[in-house]
Amino acid sequence: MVHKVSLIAAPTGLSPGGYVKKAFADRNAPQTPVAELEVVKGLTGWRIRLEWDCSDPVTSLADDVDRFVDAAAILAPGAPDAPWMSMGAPGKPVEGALWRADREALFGVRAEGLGTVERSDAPAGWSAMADRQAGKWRVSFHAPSWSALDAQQQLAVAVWQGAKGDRGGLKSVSSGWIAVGS
Amino acid sequence: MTQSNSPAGWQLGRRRFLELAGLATAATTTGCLPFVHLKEESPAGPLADGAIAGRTEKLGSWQDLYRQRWTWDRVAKGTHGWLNCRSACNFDLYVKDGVVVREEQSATYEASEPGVPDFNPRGCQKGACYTEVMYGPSRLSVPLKRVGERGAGQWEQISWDQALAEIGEKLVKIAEKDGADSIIHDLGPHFDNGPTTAARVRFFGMMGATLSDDWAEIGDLNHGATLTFGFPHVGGGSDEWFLSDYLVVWMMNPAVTQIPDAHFLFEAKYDGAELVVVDPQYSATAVHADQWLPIRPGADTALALATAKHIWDSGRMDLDYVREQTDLPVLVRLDTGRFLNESDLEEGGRASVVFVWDADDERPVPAPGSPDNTRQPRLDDGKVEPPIEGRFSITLADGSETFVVPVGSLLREHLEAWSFEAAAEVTGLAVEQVREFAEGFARAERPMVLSSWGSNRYLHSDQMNRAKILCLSLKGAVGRKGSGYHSTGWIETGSLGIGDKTGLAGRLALFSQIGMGTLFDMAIDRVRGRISEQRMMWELGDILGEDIACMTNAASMNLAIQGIADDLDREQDGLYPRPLSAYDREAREKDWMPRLPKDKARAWVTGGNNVLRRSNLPQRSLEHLWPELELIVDVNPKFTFTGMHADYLLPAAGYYEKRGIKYAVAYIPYLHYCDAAVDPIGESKDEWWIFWKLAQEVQRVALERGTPELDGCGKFPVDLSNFGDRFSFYGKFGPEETDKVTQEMLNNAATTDRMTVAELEKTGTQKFQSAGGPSGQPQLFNDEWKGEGVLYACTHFTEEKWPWPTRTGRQQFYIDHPWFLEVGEALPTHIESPKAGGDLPFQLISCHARWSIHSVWRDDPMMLRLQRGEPALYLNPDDAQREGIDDGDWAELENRIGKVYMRVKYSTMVRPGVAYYFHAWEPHQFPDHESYKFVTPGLMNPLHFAGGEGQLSWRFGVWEPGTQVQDTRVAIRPGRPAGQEVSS
Amino acid sequence: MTATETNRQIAMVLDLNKCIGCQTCTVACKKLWNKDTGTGYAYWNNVETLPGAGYPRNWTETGGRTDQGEVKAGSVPNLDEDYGRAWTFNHDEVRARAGEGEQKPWLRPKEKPKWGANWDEDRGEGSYPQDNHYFYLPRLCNHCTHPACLDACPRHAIEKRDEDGIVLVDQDRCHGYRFCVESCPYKKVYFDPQRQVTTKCIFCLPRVEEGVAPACARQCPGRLRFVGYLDDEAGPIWKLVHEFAVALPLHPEFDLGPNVYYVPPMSPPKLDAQGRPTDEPRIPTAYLESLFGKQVHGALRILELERAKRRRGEASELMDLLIAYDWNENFALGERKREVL
Repeated sequence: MVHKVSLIAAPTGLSPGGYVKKAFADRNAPQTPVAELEVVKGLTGWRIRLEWDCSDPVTSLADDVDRFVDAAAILAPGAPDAPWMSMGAPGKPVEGALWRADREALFGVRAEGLGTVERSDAPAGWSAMADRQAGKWRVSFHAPSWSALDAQQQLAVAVWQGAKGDRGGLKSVSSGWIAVGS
Repeated sequence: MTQSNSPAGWQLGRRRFLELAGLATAATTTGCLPFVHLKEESPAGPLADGAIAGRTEKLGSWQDLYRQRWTWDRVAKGTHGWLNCRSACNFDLYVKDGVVVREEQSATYEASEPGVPDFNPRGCQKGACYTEVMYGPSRLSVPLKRVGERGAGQWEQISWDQALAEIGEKLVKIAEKDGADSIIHDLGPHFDNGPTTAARVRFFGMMGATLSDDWAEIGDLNHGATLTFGFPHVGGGSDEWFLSDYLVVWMMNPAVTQIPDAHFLFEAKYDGAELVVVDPQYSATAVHADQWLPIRPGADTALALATAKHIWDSGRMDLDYVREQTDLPVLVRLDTGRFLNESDLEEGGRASVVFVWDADDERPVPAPGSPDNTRQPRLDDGKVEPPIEGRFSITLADGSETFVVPVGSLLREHLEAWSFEAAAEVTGLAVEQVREFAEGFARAERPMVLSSWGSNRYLHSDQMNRAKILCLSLKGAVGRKGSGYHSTGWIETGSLGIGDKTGLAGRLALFSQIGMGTLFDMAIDRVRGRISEQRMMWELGDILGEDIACMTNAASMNLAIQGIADDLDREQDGLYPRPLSAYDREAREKDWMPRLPKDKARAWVTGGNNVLRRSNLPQRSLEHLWPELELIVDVNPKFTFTGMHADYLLPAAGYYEKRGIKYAVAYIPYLHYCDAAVDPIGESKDEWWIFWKLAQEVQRVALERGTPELDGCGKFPVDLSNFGDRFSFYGKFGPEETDKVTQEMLNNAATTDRMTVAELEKTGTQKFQSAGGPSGQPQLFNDEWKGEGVLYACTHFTEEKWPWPTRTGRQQFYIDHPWFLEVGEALPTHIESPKAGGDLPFQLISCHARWSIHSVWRDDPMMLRLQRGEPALYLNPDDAQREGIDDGDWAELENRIGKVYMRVKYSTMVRPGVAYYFHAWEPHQFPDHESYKFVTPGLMNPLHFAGGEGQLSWRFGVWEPGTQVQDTRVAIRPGRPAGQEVSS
Repeated sequence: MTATETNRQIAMVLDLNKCIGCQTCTVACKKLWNKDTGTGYAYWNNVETLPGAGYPRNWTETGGRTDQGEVKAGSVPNLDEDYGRAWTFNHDEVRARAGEGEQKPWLRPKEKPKWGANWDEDRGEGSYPQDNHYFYLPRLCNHCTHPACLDACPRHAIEKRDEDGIVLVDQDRCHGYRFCVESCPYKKVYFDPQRQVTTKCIFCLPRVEEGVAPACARQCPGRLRFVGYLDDEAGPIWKLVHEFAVALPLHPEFDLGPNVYYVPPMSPPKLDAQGRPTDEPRIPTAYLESLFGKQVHGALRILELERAKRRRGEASELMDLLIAYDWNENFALGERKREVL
């Protein structure tokens, strides 16, 4: 199933601390307004393809200090009522994978609220293939097993365009959970 | 677990660290030459996996990453022993896994006396990162032999056995063929007072090779002080600065060049002193001054003369002091301009005796303290209170009448011209500022002038320093605690000498080479109290130096063999009655100056002196001298420009890899010891080992060849057949026994003879026991100081009343040498800076650098990153903009000698019309490998070739001609080396 | 817990009248903490010549806070243009090809230098000789009472330690977003692109924990740094900051409560058009006010009054303190637990 997903700017007003919400108060429009999402559950597990327009890719920090790399995340609720926009809540985690353009291996991510994201190695067997053609990033995730998604059948996505200053809470996200069934 | 985001660089630490440390001890020749031992980015420290000494365990926290960086296996005490830096600073060297990872000041000094700040924590940014140089990209670590043309960069690694055998054989053959004096060695900007230098000096001294004294040649010699006091190195501890109430920093920039001591200036200011900086540059010292005098370059004499006049006119002269301590009462014949001497007055009288006027008896009487005034050997002997002004008629021995006047009269008349207005005109300062300065000086109780080695780089610097001292002496300030002249005193330390015996036996053996008659006369004089012990020992030292040391002054040698005589005759045309070469010739004919080598230079063995970096017009050396040399060896921890053009590079151990004793400048009256914190890296070796082994090779070759007894520069016979045996004092000191050598050297000086190596290994530093032994040059002339209280200088004269070592026995402002009379420089005289290189708009002025000690840190990446990575020419922004040169642009510097390129740096501290560089960049840091030195002729003042009278007698580092670079003129225009963008 | 509730606050005073720009502090810090590849460009401690653009270039214009202490979007400086890259050099090439051809290589940076940590050293402003002026300003993290960096981190990766108020970036929690870099108006947080985390001055916490002063302070040959706890009324910090009120925070208008204080610089007199000394200092007091706030007038006056006392031969505790007769007393950190001499 292929979704055309409209993305919104993650609301900076929710960002913990005093700086981001004020310094980026006017960052209302998504840097990546739309993404294409395809989710397939097959014999080998979940295959999730995410595509978005990116005219100015950043695939490496190149030892610079003012660059941010392109990235994308797929997350599933770890509990039936885990909220998406706040990256979960205490006792109601969200979990999934983070692809970054400057590294091969996926990060596993888990959070129970804004500012609580923990990165780790992705679960064994998880991977992502990324390529960029015709001004688009296409990232194909493969998760041999993902019990949260199995259980909740919902997914959310986030996209960071480094060239536009995206990092952390400065990201374009699906406006809510996307049902992956039928 | 967050391992994916863990600081990988840090976890990599230990493995990488050990790898790199391994490289340090096992340099290999695979690939490119093994110059480099640790990569530029050496790790600061490992994330250790075991227990670490002295560490507080706080496991389980990411903060331990930081805690573990501040750990070490061992701390050694050290300093930068071999470095020609006038500071000496006690450092802790932190050793981890066999590598010195960092250094930090020890800071164990105590205040010299209550009410004076302590010396802690001595150090600077360079000393705090010598480890960067030690493990840096220019480090040498294996013996190398040239395989291509000189300077082509083609080398092969050879063994020490091969290197020493080949060099030993060449040295012997050259000594046989062209005389040992054709072998040149130098001390230069790399020496210590420990085994390193002792080895080199002993080796070449025994051989009869020529030691090139470049003290004056590099522009460091204070001729003005020697002319006035009889010696150039004046002054005690830097904490004495704190005691002055009127501190005049006059041609010095302590904030840049005396970093560990500069604080005393600003602390004196807090204590109520007035801090004055006289400098064309708004220097890093001037920014903290109460008065900054932006003087025109080269005009300092005028300011000083106006100040002296004001002190005199306003009645603030210390007349008692002036009568007793200076030559102002000494009589001068008006008909000849010479001092009245005894032979003028009586047949068979002694020319050495000078006179003052006895106003009661209305006749000239021998000046107290005059040379050979055996009845009144001290300055306060006799009851005469001689006038310093007047005009008296006398009858000479031949019955003729003439007039004599005290020097004071001549001086007073000479000063008449130097009103505030006249000084303002010459100096470019406002009348009001000159007056304020002079009045402050006159009013002060303890005026002090700091005048550094850099104050000697104008052709007429001698005049400037004579005039500055005059201001102090009129105030009675020299030789009085908390005031006077600081041109950097020295504290004597021990040496090994070149004789066959060590210790007292060795010293007595040396005296056997002095004629019995001379010794007897001196002994009688001493017993009868006619001369001081200091004076006697000093004169003995001079005699020994002349009789047995093969030394020459580098400036004379430059003229003779480096091919610059024509350049200087042209640049100095019209400045003096005769060409420079004529003065040189006359001095040589009269035996005023030593002249070695007698014929040609055939070998040059340098110890980091980096002659091609520091010489003026090095292109002449490469063109004229280099082809004459059959052997060029650089014994050095570092690859230098001179090394690039050498035949052999012998890797010396670095400062932290061998025992050393830092040379002892009086600013800090402590001996500084450097321990061997780690073994020499790669195959490098300390110089004691190198020269010990080389001495054996020389002996082997001489025996094989049956080398006959050779002539040691015309002064003593040289037997090379037992050279190695003698070098080691017949086996007393083995090649590895630098601890014993160091102890022997400590034992050999009154300043250190109660110190032990074992104790110094623990403390790194100990206060000197006295201000200097009675022999040798680096005397502070303070007989009483025994390690207690602020160290100050010259009380030997002002308190003990012994005469000054000058023609008149006094601080001397009148020089009656015929050459001085001929050119009108008998009294301190302002003379305009000549325009060397042509009448061009910019005066090119050299400064000592903040960022390097000579060339040692000049190419160090850590230091370069805190500059602009390349040599910089400092221009006033207005000047640069007028010339169309942006900040950072290339510019060309051109005069009639040549053209070189530098990048321009804007600075408002620069006076318009001046271009500064901060020195000691290697020529290979410039396009075409041509530095500013390639357009700097380095004038020589011909008067400094004068000899034969009193203080005008050649002595190592005391009186000799030098070179002066500050008179250089250049045009500066936009311009770029081929292939470079202007603003690339 | 908010930042102001830390139990104690460690602080530093730097007397700018004794700073000679030697950068021993910079090197001491660099050697101890920032020798990794990713922090080659970073100087937790730097010394800049003022007036000047400083390090990173024009850092006062990089945002984070307004002159009223309000949050304002900041920027991350550029490595080449603003910080200055840690250039690498061609030593090997120069040695090996010294003799080659017309254009033999000479030793220089491989990368084009555009800026550096000390790029405008000794440049200054004004016209020679009337009013040209400059002075040195050593800078380190201010370990603010209300740290902008702490406030900016969405991950709570920055803490202000309870025991001494030292502000630290948790190297495990940091995800390298650099909001702290943007928001610090002093630009004293640095991003390490190798490790992809930010780092900053740790006030030499391993040393301070053992009673040893930070490397920048203890290695300062100018003896201009004082270290201690702000509430220690017997220590030098309290005296200089509160009792004599001569030590002032840098840019107090950012309203972050810096805990690094400066004794403002005096300077020689300006000259008039005829070269005559005037009563005005070369450094315009208005400029100093723009750095240290209105209190700078009072601080300079106190310094002059106390100096005058000493000129008259009277006692001055302030002058004694600044002279630092016994330099070890510049540091009041309690018992020293580590053998460092």
